Amino acid sequence: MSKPGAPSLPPLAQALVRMLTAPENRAFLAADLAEEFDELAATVGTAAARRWYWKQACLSAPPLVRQRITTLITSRMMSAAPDRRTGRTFMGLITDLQYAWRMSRRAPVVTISVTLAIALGIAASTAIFSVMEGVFLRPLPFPAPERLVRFSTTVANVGRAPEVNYLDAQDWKASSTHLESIGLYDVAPGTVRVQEDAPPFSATLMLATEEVIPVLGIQPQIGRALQPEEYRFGAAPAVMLGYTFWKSHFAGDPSAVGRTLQVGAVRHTIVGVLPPEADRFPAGGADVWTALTFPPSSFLNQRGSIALSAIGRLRGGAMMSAARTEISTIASRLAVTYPDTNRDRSILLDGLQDAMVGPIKPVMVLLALSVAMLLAVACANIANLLLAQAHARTLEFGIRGAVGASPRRLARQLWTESLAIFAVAGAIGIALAQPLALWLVSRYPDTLPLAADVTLDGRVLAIAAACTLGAALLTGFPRTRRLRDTQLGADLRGDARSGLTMGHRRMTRVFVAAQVSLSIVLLFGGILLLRTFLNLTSTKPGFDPESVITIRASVPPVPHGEPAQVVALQDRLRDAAASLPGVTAAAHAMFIPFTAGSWGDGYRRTGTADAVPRGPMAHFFMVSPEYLEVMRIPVLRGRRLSASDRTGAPPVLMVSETFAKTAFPGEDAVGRRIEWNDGTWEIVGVVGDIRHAALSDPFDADVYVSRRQVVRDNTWLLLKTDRPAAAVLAELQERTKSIDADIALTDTATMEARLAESAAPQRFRAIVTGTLAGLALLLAIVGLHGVVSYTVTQRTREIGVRLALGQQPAAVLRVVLLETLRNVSTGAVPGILCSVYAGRWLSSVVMVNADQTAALSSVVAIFVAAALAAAAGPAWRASRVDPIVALRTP
Amino acid sequence: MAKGDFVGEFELYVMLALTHQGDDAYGVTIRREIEARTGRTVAIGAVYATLARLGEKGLVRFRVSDPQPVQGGRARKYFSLTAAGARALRHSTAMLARMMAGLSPDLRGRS
Repeated sequence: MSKPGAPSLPPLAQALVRMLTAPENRAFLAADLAEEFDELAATVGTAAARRWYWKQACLSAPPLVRQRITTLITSRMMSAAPDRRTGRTFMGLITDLQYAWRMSRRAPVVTISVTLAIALGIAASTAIFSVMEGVFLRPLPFPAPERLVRFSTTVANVGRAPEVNYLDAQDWKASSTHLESIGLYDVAPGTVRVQEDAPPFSATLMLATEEVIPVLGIQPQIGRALQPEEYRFGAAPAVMLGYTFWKSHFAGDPSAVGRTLQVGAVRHTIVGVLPPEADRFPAGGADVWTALTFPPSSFLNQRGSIALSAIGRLRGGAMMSAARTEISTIASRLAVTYPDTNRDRSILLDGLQDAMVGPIKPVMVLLALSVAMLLAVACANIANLLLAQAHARTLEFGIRGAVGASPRRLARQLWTESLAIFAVAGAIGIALAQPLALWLVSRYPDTLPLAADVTLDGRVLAIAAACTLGAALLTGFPRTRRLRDTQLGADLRGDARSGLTMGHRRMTRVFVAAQVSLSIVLLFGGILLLRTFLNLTSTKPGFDPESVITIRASVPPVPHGEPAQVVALQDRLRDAAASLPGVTAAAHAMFIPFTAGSWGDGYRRTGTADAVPRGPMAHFFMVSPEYLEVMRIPVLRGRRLSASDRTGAPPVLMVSETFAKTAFPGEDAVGRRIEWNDGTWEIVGVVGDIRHAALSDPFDADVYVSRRQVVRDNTWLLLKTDRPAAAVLAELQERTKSIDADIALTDTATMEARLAESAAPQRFRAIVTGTLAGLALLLAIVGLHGVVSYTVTQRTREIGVRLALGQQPAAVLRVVLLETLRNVSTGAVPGILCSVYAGRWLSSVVMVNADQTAALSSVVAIFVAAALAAAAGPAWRASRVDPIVALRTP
Repeated sequence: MAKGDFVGEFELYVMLALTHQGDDAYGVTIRREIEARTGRTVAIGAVYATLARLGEKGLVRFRVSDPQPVQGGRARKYFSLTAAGARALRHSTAMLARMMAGLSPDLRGRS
């Protein structure tokens, strides 16, 4: 603006002034300043002129800002033209917010607890929803995921298995017109070794037929897929790596392709690396993908076995229902062709995603419902709090109304306050949601399928925002309705202090009842699941898990190995374990309780017409003679297995009490014989029952056979020791090296940990619902306390009159307590009714083994106690009201 | 209109400065007039803010001049009192005079 060549104005100060001046004066004020600056620069020098300019700028700032704010406010008050609307509402909002802030500072405890309760509710809801969204709603990351299906088998009178028969699947594939292809696979634990000298570690193996990769529609990211000839039995072993496995064990090095990976004892060539999305199938992902091959003699190649999982891809345009019908038709044809095996079999088809996430749906629904109920309790609580607050502010609103504030203006004030609280709470809630969701996924007892997808995306945030807004509206409405009912004149006359309006009281009661009934349902569910968990963990497994360490020993299969060699190796391992310092006993077994794997089989009682495999069934445990001693399973009758029960010696076995009772009722089982595994076996002893899959399981018929008489590779070591598992494992690893460098010791855990693990789903459910129920109860108590103490304060004068007229303080106490109980019982009735239904639903979706009536009675007892505790303080205060003071107070 | 019919102290100064300057009352001259007479530093922003307020009350009006006939010459915003402004000023000074009537000289600020 200054003339060329003249000293220039300080730019920053100039900008400041321009920014603050109202637009209509901007140019003139700047011009005036520049004019004086030029004069000063000419007379007293540039530096002084600049100092002057800065001083002017700084001193001008406050009046200019004040003027602009005043203009905004006055233009709003003068109901200005529509184009000023934005500025007007904005300034109004600012004033309302300032007011809200002052109000909230007047009652900080209320504000903070309201905000926290809502934040918690929103965080929990958002977290659960983000988990559900990632798991259920987002499609699988494969091309046309809706065309992917999964097969399962139902055997009449036995149950449903998620697997199918290999030969059946080949027949479906050959005859189906609706299915493009069907792939079979098995997910199995295994041990792998990345380098020759590195220790082997356990990994998840995906053993798949050649159709699985095309069915999923994926291509290796690096290298190639297995070729058709590599899927044949006896082909050169080759593997593809899962993406995460490749990243973590090969540091994402592309040169991993072409190197070798030892799987078990066999060196495999790495031919490719699968893309990241392949890690999403199967649930939990697989580390190493290799060909599913088996010799023609394998049990997999027999019609009777149901042991492989199957997925398929519908042809484009094919309907799921049509494919279902088609497969059923083929299955019934097979039932005619192979009646022995297929007669009772029916095949089910489900969408792949449904099949993957179906099992966890009930738990997710349970969590979502619990969280929604907690949020509802919090909302009801807060609605009441706000209602009470609105009532307490009747005088304030009365005055504001009397001096000209319209009801709309006052309603807006209340809404601003509600929404401000909820905005803060929502922000806190959303911030907490992500860590909460991750915690939930990490604490989830099983692998949560597709958990990698759990993120806060736009949809989740939108839901969270909607939740927040919904809660705000829900809690805000009663308050503004209350405002509408207000008669300003009456409020000003002081009627406000004399008591609550009928409408207000009714509304308060409804909210209390809602809180109570929801909390009762939540508490009932929580107690039921907690009792279930406690009952479960107090169940005796039938063996003594204390101080037993279990270690899986992966022994490389001896090619066409002599059974004697296998037995010798297993015994050397056992001896090595037994000789460790601090180990008092050691055993080995083919399968151990509470760990995947068991051998269920049919048998025939010698001399009877028992049909195999449709006759009696039992679990067969191949164990070393020391097993019963290490596990402290009591021998009830007969003798133990001994070292001399070996190949060549007469085949003997021991049976469990349940076996003895069911197979030979009323007789002594010892000395009896059964036909099994191509031999006749004599029962030499009876042992106590144990549970082997879940603590909730009933006792099964169990059989114990010496490993020297039925030789199998699979080996678990059991060590009785008080020393920590890690130390024992390290020492054992040293010793096994000298036996065979390829032996991998994996899956180390104490037996107690395995037992605890088996109850983990119940524990998880109990903890989560218990916590939510506890929070709901707490909220209900706080809410109840608030309502009672508020009512008492409102009725101080009435109570004063009663006392003055001679009523005993004890009677006042009783009145208040009874009124509280009446409030509670209004909510308790629907709560108890809902609990009955909730209990039924709960036991239909998750395991519940607690007495529901007892749980319901304890819930009622807890609630009565809680209600009395909540009301005790206010009731006591009420009975201590001094009539004189009460009546004198206006 | 917090002060009703009364005008604030600084508003009074600005209105008096307008009267003193007559036709030549614009930002620079008004500011200098007040500064010279009161001996206080006066911010141009305060002058404009006050003028805007007086304008809203209908006490002051303005006209915008043509650019000054020099190179890079600027336009000026000249202010003057409205009829209501002149009335308000008379009223205020009269009230002031009445309030001060009969006070001893030291209280009247004439030392």
